[in-house]
Amino acid sequence: MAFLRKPHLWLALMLVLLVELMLRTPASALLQSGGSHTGRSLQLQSALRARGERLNVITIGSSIAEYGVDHEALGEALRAQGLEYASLAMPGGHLLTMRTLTRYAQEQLPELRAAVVLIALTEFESIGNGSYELAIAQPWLRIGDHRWVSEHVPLDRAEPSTLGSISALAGYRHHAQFLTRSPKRLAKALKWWRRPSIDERLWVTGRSSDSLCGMDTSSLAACLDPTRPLDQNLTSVATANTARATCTHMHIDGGQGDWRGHDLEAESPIFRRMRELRQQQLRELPSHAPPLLVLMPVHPLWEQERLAVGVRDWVTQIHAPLVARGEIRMLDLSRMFEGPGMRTCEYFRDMYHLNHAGQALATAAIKTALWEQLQIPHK
Amino acid sequence: MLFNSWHFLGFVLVVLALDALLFRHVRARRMMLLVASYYFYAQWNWQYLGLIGFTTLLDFHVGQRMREAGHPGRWLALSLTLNLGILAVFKYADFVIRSANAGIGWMAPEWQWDTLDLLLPIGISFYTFQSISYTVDRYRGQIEPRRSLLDYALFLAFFPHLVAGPIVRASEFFHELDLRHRCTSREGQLAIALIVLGLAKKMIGADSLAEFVDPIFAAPGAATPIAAWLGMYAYAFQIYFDFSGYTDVAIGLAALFGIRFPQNFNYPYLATSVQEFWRRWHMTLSRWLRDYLYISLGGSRRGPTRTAVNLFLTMLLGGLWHGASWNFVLWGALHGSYLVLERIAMAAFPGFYASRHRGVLLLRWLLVLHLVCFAWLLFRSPDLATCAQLLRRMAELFTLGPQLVSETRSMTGLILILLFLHWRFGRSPLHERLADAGPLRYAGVIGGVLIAIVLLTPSHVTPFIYFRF
Repeated sequence: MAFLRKPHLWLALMLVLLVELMLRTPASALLQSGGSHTGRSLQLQSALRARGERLNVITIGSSIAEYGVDHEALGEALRAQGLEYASLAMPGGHLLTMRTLTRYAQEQLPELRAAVVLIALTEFESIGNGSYELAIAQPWLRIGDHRWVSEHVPLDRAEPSTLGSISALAGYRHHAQFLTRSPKRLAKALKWWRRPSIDERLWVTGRSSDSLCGMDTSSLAACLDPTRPLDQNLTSVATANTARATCTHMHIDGGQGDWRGHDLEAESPIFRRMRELRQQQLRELPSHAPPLLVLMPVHPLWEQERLAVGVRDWVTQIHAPLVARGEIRMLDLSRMFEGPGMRTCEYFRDMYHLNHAGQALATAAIKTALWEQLQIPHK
Repeated sequence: MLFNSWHFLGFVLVVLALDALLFRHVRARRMMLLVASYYFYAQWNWQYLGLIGFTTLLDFHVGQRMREAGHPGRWLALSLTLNLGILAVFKYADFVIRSANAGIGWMAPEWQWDTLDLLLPIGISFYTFQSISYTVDRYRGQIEPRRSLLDYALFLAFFPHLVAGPIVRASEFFHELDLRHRCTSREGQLAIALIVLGLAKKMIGADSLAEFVDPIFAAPGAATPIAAWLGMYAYAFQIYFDFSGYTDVAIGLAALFGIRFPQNFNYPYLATSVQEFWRRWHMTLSRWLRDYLYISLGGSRRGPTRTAVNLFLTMLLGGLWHGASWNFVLWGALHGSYLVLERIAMAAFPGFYASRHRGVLLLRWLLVLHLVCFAWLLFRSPDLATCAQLLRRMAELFTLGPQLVSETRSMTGLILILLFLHWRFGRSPLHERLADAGPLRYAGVIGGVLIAIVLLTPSHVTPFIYFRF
């Protein structure tokens, strides 16, 4: 092994180690670029670094939160009350992301008065989004976090993507692959000094005026049927394709389970862990007022044909004790578009997310609850 | 245990440490390497260790007795019959049964035989050919019998080349083993470079290209004509990266134990004749086929017609060696036809083939590249119908024109870059340059490639293509 006495191999390994360490420091912000999950996390981090300590109100959640609220309007309304607001919504985020953001809030947001957590029924069937979520959480992770990160994404030797639970370098895989698939994206990413405006990132709102009323989403079979007519005045082809793609996944993921009468926590430790993590994270949010948990609407087809029957009881089982003890407040908007006289399709841009009309109604409802939470008188 | 797995990395580190400890103790070291090799194989299927054991005992004994007991031809026949018999049962029996069932099915549907459904022992094609080379060399008097069963067992089972080659001759292996050569500093650097670059070829190159190629071969009807063409080129690089990447790792690993393996790939897509392609692609198999099949059939000593027949038969059987399906038979036949037609063309147009003019070389290179790529369609397609459907899609390019979308545009660019790199490194292989590089340059390249492996490998570890053969 004479070559081991020479520096060549050791220097190569040190280079790998150096990059691993660099990605755990603020230097990683140089890699920020829109589009990829990691890039968006880096942008948010950078924006929060500039303004974080003055924040008074935040929203946390996945893309359901990003598209579910008009963050710009909410931010302006709060500013009129002398309060600083930011959306910490991260598309693809789940329990791991929320855990990292909870820690961030504990350490960096001393002026936080209220936290709004937006979730949907679709987020209660699993404990996370798998290794996919590592790409979102990575910029927020530190050395020593791997123990609890592994609770969300266990290391699987056969899947390089799960290496991200112990290695920052591997945590950037999604970002690297996103960029290298398109030379244009790569070129754009290299112009790292062209950062998006801070306000843009903190109040980013997914906007769409498209609705699902131009296609038949009354059942999974109808949604998947390509022969059904499409009214392009109401639903664009792109929107219809996105909706159909989700319907395909719903179909592939299998039939509807039935959780009624089951003791889920006794049947699987995953459910117990899910409840513990949810409750723990909500309790640990360091806002002055109890966090406001909003159960956001998703397209009714989910409950009708895909989500387990009894998922609502499970959600109640997790949160009711916290509500009873006054540790959180809960606002259930999950059926806000299903009442009499409502045309559900008018409020959705796809099977998960609200369009502009849905956003406006949801924002108004959230604002009312938040104003109560902050004890701001309604005008 | 795949070369591209954590399990294998740990295994290699332990074996290298033990090798360093036992280096001065010849028998103990060889015993340790044999046990490690059997452990490596047993991780896949310990029961099939018995097959390697049988082949080892058989050919070791045949090698000993062949000259001493007289009738060397009978001993050779015994070795060939049993070795090829085992190969036939495990690899080809179901193919023959299925073909027979299909052949007589239309005449007498009630005459159907059940297939054996045996699990194909990994590496059987490789270690069987190596063992046959020893008995044939003994028969020809080209090698002395090996007196140590331990050495012979190690020759067949040495883990770096056990499952997918390179196919090493007994004389080469024993020569290296007897040298008791300790890996020098330069050789160590070269070996590590080969291993790291080999893994990158497989994990970044082959596995990423597979993400583009697999859907095209799975549903050729859904591919656009340009995507079908790109799928063909991409597969050519995928299989090259996959197999040459494996070989690089195998050669690098063996070098760390002081054993030099022969080169197996030499930038095959630079070839300007099909003959040259086979001198650059899977070189140890080409050499085996030439020495033990083509020459045994009479080679080129019996006139041009017989030479053509011998060439064709050699390639046909070479195709069948790869796998038990009509695709591989036809792939071998196609390459056999290429070689025969090329010999005829060489005789008819000697100027064209002797010319060193750049334009002529470019034309020949393009011709050979496309002949090889078209043959890969047969190799990769799950069945002949898929291959035909792909060819039809590709033909539509000339009627519909190219419909470049962003994905196919990126792939076109990638394939051009890969061809350029193939040409660039073919002139001066990167690993050889790294062997003499200074520490900073070496660390920059190897460290950079390691980082790229972590960042750019697809999410699932996939086995090497040639493990199937």
